[in-house]
Amino acid sequence: MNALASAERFEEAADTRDRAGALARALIRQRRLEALRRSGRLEVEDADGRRVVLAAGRLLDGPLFATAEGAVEHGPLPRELADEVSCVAAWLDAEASRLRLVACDGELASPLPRLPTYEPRGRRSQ
Amino acid sequence: VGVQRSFEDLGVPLSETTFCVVDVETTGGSALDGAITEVGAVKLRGGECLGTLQTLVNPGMAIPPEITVLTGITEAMVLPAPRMDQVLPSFLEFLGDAVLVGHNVRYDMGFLNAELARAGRPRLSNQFVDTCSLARRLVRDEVPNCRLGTLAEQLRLGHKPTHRALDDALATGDLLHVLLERAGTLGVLGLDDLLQLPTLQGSAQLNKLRLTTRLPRLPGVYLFRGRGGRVLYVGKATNLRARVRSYFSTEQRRKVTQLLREMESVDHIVCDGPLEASVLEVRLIHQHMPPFNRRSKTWRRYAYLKLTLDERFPRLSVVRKVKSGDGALYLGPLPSTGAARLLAEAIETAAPIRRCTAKPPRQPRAAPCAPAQLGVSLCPCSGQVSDIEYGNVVQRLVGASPPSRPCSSTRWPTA
Repeated sequence: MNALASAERFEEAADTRDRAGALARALIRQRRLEALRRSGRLEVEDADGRRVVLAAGRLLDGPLFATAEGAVEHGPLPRELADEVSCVAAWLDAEASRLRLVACDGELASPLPRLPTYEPRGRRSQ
Repeated sequence: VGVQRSFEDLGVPLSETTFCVVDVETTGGSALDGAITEVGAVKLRGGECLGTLQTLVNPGMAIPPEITVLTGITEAMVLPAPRMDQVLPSFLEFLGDAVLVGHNVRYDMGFLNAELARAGRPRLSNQFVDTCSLARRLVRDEVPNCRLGTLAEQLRLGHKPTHRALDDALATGDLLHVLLERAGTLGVLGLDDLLQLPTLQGSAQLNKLRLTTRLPRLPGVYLFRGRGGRVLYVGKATNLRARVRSYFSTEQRRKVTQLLREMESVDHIVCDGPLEASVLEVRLIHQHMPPFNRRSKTWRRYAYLKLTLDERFPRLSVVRKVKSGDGALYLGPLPSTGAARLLAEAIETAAPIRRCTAKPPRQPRAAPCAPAQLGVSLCPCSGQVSDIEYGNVVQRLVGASPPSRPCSSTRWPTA
């Protein structure tokens, strides 16, 4: 990308950047969701003492969700669950510092090294 | 000094709220160059008068003659009166934490805050309600203008304003009661509703505000329904009542106006917390596909990028559906097939995986595919690629990708 840019082949450099960015974003998201799904049955408690029970990234809590069918742990995430699991992942990430882990029968960790991002500098938030 | 109020406090029923109607007479001008000549206040609660306060104030400056003509307050009257810094303690005690009410209340508050600043005291922290903007919202079509005198006459208020502080405060109090009665028919029952009312758009949809009367001040999910109960929009909120009512506020986006026009009822589901609410929101959007929602509706277009490990020479392929048990490696779901294709391109520029879809021929073809000819991909259609060489490429790719299945089963069988 830098070589293309210094050769003033900016369009190609932009293409390269977009591709690398798309790949990095997709991998980050994939890792996040896979990590969550591998966490098995996860029980956390928030600052107000509310308990939240997740099964492989799906909310299994309260009368509202009693009907949620068993979580699929293997194979790629089904499309209809993608929004929901990302929603849970976003919540866990945002609340991470205020949550207390009660129980977890899978693995809950993000062991892979951080991936580079290709966002413009101003938007980079991590 | 008041403590910041929470949503729960703001939900106090209006009948249990203490209001303090305030009016000040001044030497004219602005709060910077004028001074207060008289203070009048009335405390009201549940429609009853709890007490009144009236005192002339020595402004410490001359009163312009035209102001004396208007109010009837002369310099001789205010000369023996106390100064404002002597009046402030008893006024603040009378006010307490009541909701401040006035006709053009910002004018009165401006003068009071200026006096408080001069006395080295903090500004007023009370909630305040302006009867002038409420009147504009609620009775504008019945009156020629929203001056206090006009309103008193047209609405037949019990007290007549005379440009003296207490009389005007009493008349404003009467006006407040009339306005609260009108607001009640719109479902304005709590203090939070009343404080929000002046910001509501004066649209034809205002009568639909009463659809929100039953909404609790709790976190949850709300559904706007149109004709025949069709779900138009699903949203989540930490305070259902405030969120739904905010749609009637100054928000002038065209979509919102259209949504309000088509909306015929509002449903809600109370949730335990924000997580439950956002998950339920996603599920309801998936279920109803509401026309006014944008997010979470495209999931049927989600695609996967698949590495076909079940082939002799695996390749990347963009697919909509996952075939279970085909041994392939999947990446996704990705937002669209376009996004999946971009990703495939990214991987193909980084690794020389084959790009053509043809089955490898028994005999080498005369013309292999273009990427193979350019030397950017290791395509078996040239007939010169060994299984082992290609297997290494694939294994590097598999090793770099996050496991979407238990790691043990993603091993590429080398020939």
